[in-house]
Amino acid sequence: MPGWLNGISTAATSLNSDVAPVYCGIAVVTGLSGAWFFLSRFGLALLIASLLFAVRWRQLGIKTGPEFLQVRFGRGSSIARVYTSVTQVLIGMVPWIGAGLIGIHTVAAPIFGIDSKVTTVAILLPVMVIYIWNSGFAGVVLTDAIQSCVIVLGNLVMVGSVLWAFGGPSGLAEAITASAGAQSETILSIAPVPGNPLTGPLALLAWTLIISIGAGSGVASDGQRLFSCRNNREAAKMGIWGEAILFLMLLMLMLPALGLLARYPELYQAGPAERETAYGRMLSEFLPRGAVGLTVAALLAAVMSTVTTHLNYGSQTLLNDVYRPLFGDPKPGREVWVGRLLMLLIVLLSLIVVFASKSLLGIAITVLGLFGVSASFGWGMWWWWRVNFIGWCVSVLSGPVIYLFSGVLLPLIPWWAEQIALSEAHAQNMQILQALVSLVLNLSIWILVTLCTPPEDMETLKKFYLRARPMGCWGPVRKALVAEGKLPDIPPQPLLLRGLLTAVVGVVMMSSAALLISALYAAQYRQALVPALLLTVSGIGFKICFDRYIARLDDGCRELNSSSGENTES
Amino acid sequence: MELTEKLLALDPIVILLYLLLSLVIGLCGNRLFRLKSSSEDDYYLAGRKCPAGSTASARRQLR
Repeated sequence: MPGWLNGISTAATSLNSDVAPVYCGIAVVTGLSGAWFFLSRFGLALLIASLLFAVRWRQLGIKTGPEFLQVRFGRGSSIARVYTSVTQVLIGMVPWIGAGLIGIHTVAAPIFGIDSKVTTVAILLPVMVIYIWNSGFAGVVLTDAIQSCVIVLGNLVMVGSVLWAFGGPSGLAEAITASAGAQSETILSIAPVPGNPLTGPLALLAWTLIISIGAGSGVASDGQRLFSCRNNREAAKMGIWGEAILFLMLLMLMLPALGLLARYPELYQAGPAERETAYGRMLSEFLPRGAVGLTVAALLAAVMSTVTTHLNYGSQTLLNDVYRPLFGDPKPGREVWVGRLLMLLIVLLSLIVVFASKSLLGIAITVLGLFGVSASFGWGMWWWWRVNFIGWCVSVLSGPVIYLFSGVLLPLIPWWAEQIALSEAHAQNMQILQALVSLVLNLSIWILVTLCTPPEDMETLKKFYLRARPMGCWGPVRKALVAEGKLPDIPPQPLLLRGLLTAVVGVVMMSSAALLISALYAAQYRQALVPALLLTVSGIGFKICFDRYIARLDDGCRELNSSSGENTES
Repeated sequence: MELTEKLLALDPIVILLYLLLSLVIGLCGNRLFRLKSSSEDDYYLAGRKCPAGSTASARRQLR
């Protein structure tokens, strides 16, 4: 598979039915600086994943993300593999498939007069199940390309309709200035606005850290795409394509909300519940006759790409990481059939979510937050030879406990309680800070436990090193391999630092592009100068850094392959 | 103006066409990439061959 096609598929999969109301809602309370909201969440994290991990994942020669644990750890790793797979499906997939189907029913049912969820599910689910059943991953990736086109087309209609309504970018800016008065300066600023709970400096930093720490060290459906890339370079490019397309789609969802602010400037102060009605109001205000079908198709596309990806990858990981360790290999030729039956099991579980109460989704989201606290351990497994299975157990078990306790203890600090009391949006920010504090505590605990317990068996570590070529602190394992003549006696290149620097240059490039488009949409030509200049410089810089970095990664692989006598496709 | 008031006869047709296109493209996915839907690596990884080398040790550990 080419990297760009897998990247498009990854971007389409990231969007679900809740994305449009959420991001449009963010746009009305942040104005032109809304891009910072997604830049802080995904900008660095996705580039770290593609530059530091994509090639290494692909080299491992495994079928699924949880299989990594089997390669990295010795004793007990199968339990970790089964546990990770089951949690990926039950927490990371089933609730989101259900949420997607409920979301599309909520939007489309009133428009087309559909009363029951059964009708919505009966129209959509068979289409998806039939083509995944027949074509598997290739069908999912190809249709994701179609879904992306439909999403972009649907969003373009809205982008154009708003500009048409106000007579172009200058007309839109004038309308905002006229209606919002003094507030228009902050609405039309592309810089983060201090004091705004969503794009204030503290919120941006907390989100960047909480999402970026551990990024790339574990994979699910994104791993399926990485493993299927035709070579290492394409695997690294996949994440970059994915990020660029995802940001474009999100911008196209957010920028038209400025039209709503021009007519209803009071929305700039809206609370979380009110702001999420902004998308519906925007469709009612600006969508032209004859475009409703295309907009609903765009929402359907967002849901279908997510659901099909989860169904296909979910069945793969249940087959590879649960069925195989528990029951052994299926009879030759029956693997795909077992996978298809497991897919039907996921469909069944998702239907339970669709027809259960909404609180079930709330529980799922909370559980997702609980498990995110253990993310730092992922980097440890890749970058520190000393990390062991006991550390994994402690990290996975203590993460949720710390998160729950910190939720009770932190509000006892007066400043913390004051921030929560300010507004619902501030309270949500404090939840993110709570996750960050829990992450740091969890990190300290698993490091301590790791240092107090023996490392994994040296033979397991040597095998892992030769397969994964991990960056970071692997000195003793390298030394052992050099002594056995399995590695050349040359010092390792500082690839980790180079990769991080390339990722930072990439973040500057992506951020500049997003801010430039934002500024041009509302005719803020003076503000556009700085991002335009930064985009030019960082774009050239990123191209040079990326080419050199990937060449070094490839060189390193060839060296190791030749010295260890392995034959890895590239 | 409510969205239902903006609805034209064309809109359900657009959605129907979109669903039909998704189904046809999805069904042709494996043929376009010349993949066999009976092979696990073709079905799940679009043809990238990966040995399931750690299955046996996984089973031994769990028993």
